[in-house]
Amino acid sequence: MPSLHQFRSTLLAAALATVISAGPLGAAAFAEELRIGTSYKLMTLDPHYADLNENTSLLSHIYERLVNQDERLNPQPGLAISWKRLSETQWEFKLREGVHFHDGSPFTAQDVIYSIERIRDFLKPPSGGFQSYTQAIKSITAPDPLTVVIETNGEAPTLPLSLTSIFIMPHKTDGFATTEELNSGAQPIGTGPYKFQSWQSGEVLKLVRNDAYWGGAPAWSDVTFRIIESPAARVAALTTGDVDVADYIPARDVEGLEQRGLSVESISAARSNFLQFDIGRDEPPGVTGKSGNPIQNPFRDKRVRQALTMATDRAFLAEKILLGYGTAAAQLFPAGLSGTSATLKVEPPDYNGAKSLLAEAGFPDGFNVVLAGPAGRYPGDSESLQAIAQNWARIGVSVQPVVAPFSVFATQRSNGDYPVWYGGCSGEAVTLCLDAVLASPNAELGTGSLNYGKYQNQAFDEMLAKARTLEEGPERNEALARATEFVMADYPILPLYHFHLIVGHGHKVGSYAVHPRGWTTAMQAVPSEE
Amino acid sequence: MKAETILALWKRPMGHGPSLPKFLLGAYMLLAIVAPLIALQNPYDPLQIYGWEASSPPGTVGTGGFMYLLGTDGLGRDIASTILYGLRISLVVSITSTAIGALVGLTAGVSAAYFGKWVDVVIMRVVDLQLSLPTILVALIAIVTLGPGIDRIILALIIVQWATYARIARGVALSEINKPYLDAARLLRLPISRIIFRHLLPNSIAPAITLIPIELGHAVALEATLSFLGLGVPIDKPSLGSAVANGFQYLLTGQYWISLFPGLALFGLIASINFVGEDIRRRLDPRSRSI
Repeated sequence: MPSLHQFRSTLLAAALATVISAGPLGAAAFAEELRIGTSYKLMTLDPHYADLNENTSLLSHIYERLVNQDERLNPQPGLAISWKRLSETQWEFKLREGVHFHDGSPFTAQDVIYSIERIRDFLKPPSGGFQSYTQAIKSITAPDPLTVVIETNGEAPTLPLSLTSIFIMPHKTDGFATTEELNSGAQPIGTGPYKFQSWQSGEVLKLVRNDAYWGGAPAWSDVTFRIIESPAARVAALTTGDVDVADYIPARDVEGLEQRGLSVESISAARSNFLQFDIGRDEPPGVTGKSGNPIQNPFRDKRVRQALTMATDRAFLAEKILLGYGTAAAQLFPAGLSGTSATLKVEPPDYNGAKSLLAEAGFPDGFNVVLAGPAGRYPGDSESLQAIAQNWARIGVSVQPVVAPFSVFATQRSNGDYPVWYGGCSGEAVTLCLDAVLASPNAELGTGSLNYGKYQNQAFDEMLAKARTLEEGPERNEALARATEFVMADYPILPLYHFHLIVGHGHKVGSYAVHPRGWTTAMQAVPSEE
Repeated sequence: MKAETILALWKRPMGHGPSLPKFLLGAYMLLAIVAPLIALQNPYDPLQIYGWEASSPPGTVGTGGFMYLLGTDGLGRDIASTILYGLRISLVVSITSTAIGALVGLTAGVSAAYFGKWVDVVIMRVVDLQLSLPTILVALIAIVTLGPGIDRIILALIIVQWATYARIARGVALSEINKPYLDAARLLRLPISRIIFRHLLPNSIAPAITLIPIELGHAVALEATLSFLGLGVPIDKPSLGSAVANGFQYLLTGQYWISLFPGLALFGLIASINFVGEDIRRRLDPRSRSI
């Protein structure tokens, strides 16, 4: 079979080379179609409609950003080749020269202005998500066609990071394009490595190679995305050879795929799942003494949170529940990504130490607690709760695990029905999760949006605020890492694991670089050499 | 007729139907009752479980010093013990709900027949409505509205079951209601509750009794279905249905034992209940009685 396949592709490449021998195709860029089975249900062609991987992952073939993110989440030049801070509220971006849109028009500063203003001024709900990146922008000017100067309302040291989310569209002279216009089959035009060919909402996206791409001819002649939402169906499509790449493979299917000669690549996702404690209330529901009597909130005591952390076997969750496709967590993002701490380590459980800490805190016999979580939202969610119940029982803490469908769980969590619960956070940078999960709730600053337990730590808030004023770079990453180490010593949450993103691929693809943000693109797939 | 019913059950020789199902059902009941005495592990006690021995194949000897006869599940619970304890939950849930469901349904059906008029209309239209919906749908709606927990599942199963009994009991009671013994009871000015419970009900239940074992089998299967869907018993106290569900995701990785053995136990239980139920029905059926 492989020989026939090989023969066919060689023949095809040979045929194509004869037909367009005068073309700009390089040696590596022989004609082959890549078919990707993805879980991402693309529902719009408007690149500014909603900031979800569902949209951005697939549209990133057509549209590009000023700034890209490498696999450690560090900013890298995209359509902008360099940027610098002119003053506390001014940034200058130098744009890439010689970039053309798919319709042949040149890429200039006008397109950047148009794209940012479209998000900031024109699009209205239900479109959303991108506005949070543009609201700080006061004005954008173009001193020359390949330079933009962005002025912000306040200090915006992380503006380049914000621009890793914004796709650039070609500008129009007669007002902004509406979402309906873009969805109605008008060809989406971008600068990206692949050109739009056809699309059925929620079903299929077909792309062809952009031979005039500034970064050199892309590897695949045609790319077809098939949206397959069910994991089992995606695995089946990969197994039968209907697709060459499939994303979000369940860990349990990896062995079967490898037995069939398919390859699997994985990486820790830029996210974590953790337990959050109710720290805000005096007597949260669901916590009682050993004899069922109501007790004061034990989670206000750092020693209790520390004891529970010490008594949680996180290696078990990663090895046994996630079948090795998870990394035990000691912080919000996996170590190695920018802004994370290199020194925080997951210790093996110490039940005796935990028990004496608990006794010190006034709970020598432990207590009873309800531990809530969603069922089937994240890999290993409900199983983890049961494993934690086994762990905590060893120090006298009796856990009643409660699982519910995510929508029910989320409603009850915001109603304050639970004392301890399973949560998660992901984002383009660790700061987003530090701000959302660990910073004190503050509507004005927009912090604490996921801090359902009302954890407050003023010293940490100050460290985080200080780090926020620093420009993207090693110094800022260092400050974030120190702030993380400082706050984790107070055990505000119990980080459990970073689950792995698993992508499977067939022989046509030589290697696939999984990105921690969970994108699925043809650019990550390198054709096999044969 | 009441005496006849009971007599019919006792008079028929036990060897009439196949004896394996009876033996099997008896064994199931016995195992469920003595489960805590014979199980090597209490799978509901987190302290007795060694998580790192999760997914051990059958025959592995664990830290607890005993052999995992049927292996362990993904969280380290001994499958053999989980089956024994799960059996208890499955049986308690289905027997309780069938008994209460039958009682409620029979009372409602007989009351509908006795009072007639709007009482009849209201009760029977509710019955019609409910019987027109798929059982699993009614159970799902009930569980989603009532919330999780063993008592809620019992309640959901009662809600699912009562209507069938009500319809049958009403039919029989309607033919009984004009018989002289009921006229006599009414002439004696006996209280209504006494007429219904002492006279009408006992004489209307014979056909419904044959339904009980069949409904019991349904209840076991429905509880297993709900638990399999994750809507049934609490996750840390698996019944047979949730024990099957726990191993579902490991089927493709070759750890067949996690689902297979609870599945076989469930199959045997439902099959034996159905065979025994069919036997009882046959013996109570006047047409087949003489055979």
